[in-house]
Amino acid sequence: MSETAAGKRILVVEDDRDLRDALAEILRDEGYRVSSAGHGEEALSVLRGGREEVSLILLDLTMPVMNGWQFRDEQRKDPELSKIPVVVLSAGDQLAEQIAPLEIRDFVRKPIELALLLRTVDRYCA
Amino acid sequence: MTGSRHAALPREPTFRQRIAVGFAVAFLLIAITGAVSYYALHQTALSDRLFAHQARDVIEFGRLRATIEQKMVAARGYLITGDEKFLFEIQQRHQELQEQIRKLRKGDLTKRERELLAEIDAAEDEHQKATEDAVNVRTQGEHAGYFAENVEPARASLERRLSAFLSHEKQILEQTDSASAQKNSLASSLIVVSGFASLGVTAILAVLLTRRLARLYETERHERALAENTRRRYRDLVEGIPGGIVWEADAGTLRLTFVSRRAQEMLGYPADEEHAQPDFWTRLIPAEDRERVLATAARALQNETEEQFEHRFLAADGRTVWFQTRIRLSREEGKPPVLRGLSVDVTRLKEADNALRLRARQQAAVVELGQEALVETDLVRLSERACEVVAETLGAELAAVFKVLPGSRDLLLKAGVGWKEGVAGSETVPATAAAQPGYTLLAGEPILVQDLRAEKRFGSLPLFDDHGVRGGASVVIPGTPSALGVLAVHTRSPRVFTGEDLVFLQSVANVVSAATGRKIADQAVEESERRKAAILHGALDAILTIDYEGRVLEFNPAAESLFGIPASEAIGKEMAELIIPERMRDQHRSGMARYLVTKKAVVLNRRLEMSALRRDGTEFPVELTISRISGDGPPVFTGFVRDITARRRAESDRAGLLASERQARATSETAERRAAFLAEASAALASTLDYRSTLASVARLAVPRIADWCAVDILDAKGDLLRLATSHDEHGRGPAVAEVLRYSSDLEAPHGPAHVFATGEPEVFNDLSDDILRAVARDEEHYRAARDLRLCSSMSVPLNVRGLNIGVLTFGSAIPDRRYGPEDLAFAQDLAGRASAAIENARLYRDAREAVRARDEFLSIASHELKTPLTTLQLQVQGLIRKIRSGARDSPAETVAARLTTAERQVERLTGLINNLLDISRITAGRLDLDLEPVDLGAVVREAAARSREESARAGCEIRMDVNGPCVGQWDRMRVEQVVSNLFSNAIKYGAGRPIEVAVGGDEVLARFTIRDHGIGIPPEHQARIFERFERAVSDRHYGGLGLGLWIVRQIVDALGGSILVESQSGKGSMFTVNLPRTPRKRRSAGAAAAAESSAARG
Repeated sequence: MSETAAGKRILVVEDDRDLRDALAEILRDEGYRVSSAGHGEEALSVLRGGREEVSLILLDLTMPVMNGWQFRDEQRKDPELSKIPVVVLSAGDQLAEQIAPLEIRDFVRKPIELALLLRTVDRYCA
Repeated sequence: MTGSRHAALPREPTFRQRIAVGFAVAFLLIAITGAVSYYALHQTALSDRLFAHQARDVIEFGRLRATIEQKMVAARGYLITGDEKFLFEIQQRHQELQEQIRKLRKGDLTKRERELLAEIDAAEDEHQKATEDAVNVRTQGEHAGYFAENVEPARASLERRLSAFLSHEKQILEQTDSASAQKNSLASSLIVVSGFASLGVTAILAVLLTRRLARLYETERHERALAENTRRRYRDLVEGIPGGIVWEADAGTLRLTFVSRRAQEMLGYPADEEHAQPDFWTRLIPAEDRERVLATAARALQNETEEQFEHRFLAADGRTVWFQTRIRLSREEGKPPVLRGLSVDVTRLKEADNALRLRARQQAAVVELGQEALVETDLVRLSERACEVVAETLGAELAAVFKVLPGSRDLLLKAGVGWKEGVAGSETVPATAAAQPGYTLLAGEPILVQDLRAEKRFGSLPLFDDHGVRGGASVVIPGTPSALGVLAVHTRSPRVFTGEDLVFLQSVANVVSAATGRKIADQAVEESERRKAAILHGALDAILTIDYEGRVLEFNPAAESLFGIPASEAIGKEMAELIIPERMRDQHRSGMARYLVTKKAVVLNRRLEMSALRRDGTEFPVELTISRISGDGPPVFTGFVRDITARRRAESDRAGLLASERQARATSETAERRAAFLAEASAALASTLDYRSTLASVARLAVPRIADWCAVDILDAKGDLLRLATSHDEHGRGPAVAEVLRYSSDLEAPHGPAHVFATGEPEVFNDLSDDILRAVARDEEHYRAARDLRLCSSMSVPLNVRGLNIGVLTFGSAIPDRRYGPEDLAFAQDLAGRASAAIENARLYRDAREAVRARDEFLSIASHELKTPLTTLQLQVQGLIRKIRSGARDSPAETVAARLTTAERQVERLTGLINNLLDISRITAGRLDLDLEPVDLGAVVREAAARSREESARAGCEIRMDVNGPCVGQWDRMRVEQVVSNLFSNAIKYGAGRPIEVAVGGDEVLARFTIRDHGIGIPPEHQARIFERFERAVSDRHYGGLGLGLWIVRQIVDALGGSILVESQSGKGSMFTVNLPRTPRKRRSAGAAAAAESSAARG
């Protein structure tokens, strides 16, 4: 259980259901509140329609409907949302190059090292 | 009769005969005269008689007339007076008339006279009748008029008739009169004439006769004188014949009766004394001739023919004289027959004759020897013959031919006659002047020796002494350069040889000389011939000799082999026919003829080059030299022929070599330039893998070096020809067409790049015509543009990669003289080949890179795909560990189980994913094989649904099944399961928690499987691509595992011969329909299609 986790909500944007669920579980175990979205559009609707403030977005890049990049564009356009930190989770190789235009704080490679993930989340949620 | 002058004339008639003839003629004439006179007189008498007859007739007729007149008078009288006495008169007269007429009729009358008489008779009857009627009338009283009317006319008619008759008579009379007068005169004149004629003839005869007589007398006298003259002359002649004796002998006794005085002179016997001797003949004619003479005489006597013969006669002084005697029997009237003869002294003639004969014999001997010499080749034999001839002819015992021995001072007795055994052929005598042979040789002229013993000029020889030689004649046998020897005859007794003998001897010697000379010459000729033959034979050049007619005389072996004609066949034939080609024969012949005529040697002694003909008919070049063989007689020519085929060939080879050298140099220069260009082009082509830019640079390079215009057309994926690059001369005459044109390749075009592309054959146009431009041009604008380029020639070659045409390379030239030849074409093809190679390389490289890239992509995607479930797995596992380590007691076993179950699921997912990836790999590599068996699709779907139930439940996608009954087909079970599972998982994944409807159906041919979800759907623009393998990672169309799965599904469905399609709309879900033929149409590996598809996709 993380102290910082209390009261923090994380939005998990990931198209793979099992992974989404697994992440949600893990984070809840850590004490975070988790919202999840299957793709970027869903994520946006969650963010905009959300009652609670989202502290961190864990973003997968390759998603249907609206992928990570598109979401990020949208997010940055929206002043409300743009300040929410984003951590990308991706399995891609040339992650550094792909991520640069996203201007995100950080990224976590898949397969995800749990401890690293928790640490990262911890950091950016604070 | 002696001196009969007119020996052959017919005998003249005698005087008496003449008289007789004369009188006969006279008599004849008189007779004629008499006859004529008699005839005349007779005629006169006849005419007189006729006259008289006529006169009588006239009288008779006159009497008749008178009677008629009387009657008429009486009739009139009656009629006037009526006196009956007149009646009586009338009657009287009438009767008289009748009587007269009757009498006349009996007489000798002409026809005319009879006619007239008949008429008179008739008229008279009429008159009578008329008169009788008149009488009757008179008696009746009416008479006057009647008389006038009837009687008068009758009377008149009668009168008329009578007159006619009378005039006729008169006429006749006159005629007769004149005729008789004529006859009289004629007769008298005839008498006169004949009288005179007879008289005249008689007179003439008399004159002639008289003259004749006179002449005859004269002639006789003359003749007598002549005869006397003749006799005298004859005697003189007879006496005067020089060398001839005229004699007469009694035919019976043959005793000479007369001998001309000549005899005394010639023979020396006193004239009459000896002659009269009866044995004159027999005594003095030598015995050998006597019999012959006597026989001849007898013959002459018997046959009375003239005979001629020769005989000898002994003269008084003992000489024998030759006579030619002619004798003839002569008969004279009244004299006994006499044998007359003329004997002419022919002694000298005889001698001359003998001498001539001798000479002729000698000459004949020489000729004969000469002829023998022509035939006899053995000189020894000839010499022998010569000796025989001279010995015989000259009547010598010995004869010899002495031969000069070269290099020695002796003469060899080569041949001879009369010598002892062994002498001829071996005995030698010194060639000195000491003896006759040598002396003759040295003197150089004929030597005569009457008696060797008395000879002062030289002595004898042992040889001569041995043989008792006394007389001799020797002559030099001439020769060139020096005498050959000596021909000699010798006698054992002294002998005087005549000049004739010497001439003869020399002739023989000349014959021998000639023969020897000929022999030597022949030998020399033979030798020369041998040498010549050797030369000809051995000559390498063909040598032939022809005569002036052009016929081959000689044909050496070299000629035989050159022309292929054996000499035996060539000799005698016309050279022109044999070895000169037909078309040139006439020229040759005329040239020969011209030479023969003009003696101008145009072709002689010059090296001529011409064609000659071999026996087999082939022609070949030769060098010919003709020269004339000097000599007399018709010209003979020698020709030297050399086969210059090799030389010609060498010349032409050399010329050819020079030409080809020049050509080669030019070619090499061109080749150098081209090679340089090609190297540059190759470098350019190899420099980059962007073949499009390199082709452009190649095209640019080509201009203006090999073309004024260059274009590269490449086939693109759609089958259009893409004009990749054109390059244009800076000084180009048209707008720089540097744009990239895309135009549909009209493969039916007859010309142009499209045609070249279609056929794969290069095309070269020199002198581009308007038609071709039109054919190539796609439209009017294009045509105009092409025309503006003013290209004169163009060259299109295909670009070919591994047997497939991928494009066309075209060059065009606007320079009128630049024509594209085979070398240019070869160059263009070379360039095309390099360009094709470059393209091929580029493509291969690109393919390789693409393959690498694809692999990388695949790996990246694979890793990406794998990472997701792996991440989940790891999270779950690590979460669990964390949880357990942290000692949290509030992790119930269910939670753990749940998490482990999730983990398990991830493992499954991973496994499935890996299998997919492997499948993809296998399918791509063409290693996916189908194992066909009867499969029930319905069962498979039900099982898949069962397997997916948990997942679908979790996802909230209720699976609704519409699978009724079996749906069986021949498929690969595993793969069909794979397809179904994939579609199920996709439907669940994207089903958005809504129900999934599944159905299996179809017909006999096709089985159908449909799966519908109501999930997020697939936008239409992406529907085509969802069955693609995978896109680039950057693409937003990445559907995660869907990308791989659907591609695999597609491949499997294709492999089974079926089809898969999707109907979907965004937000409305998707329905996938799979159709599978129950019996697959094609059995093919799923990989081939995949491979093709991938390369097409890369395009």
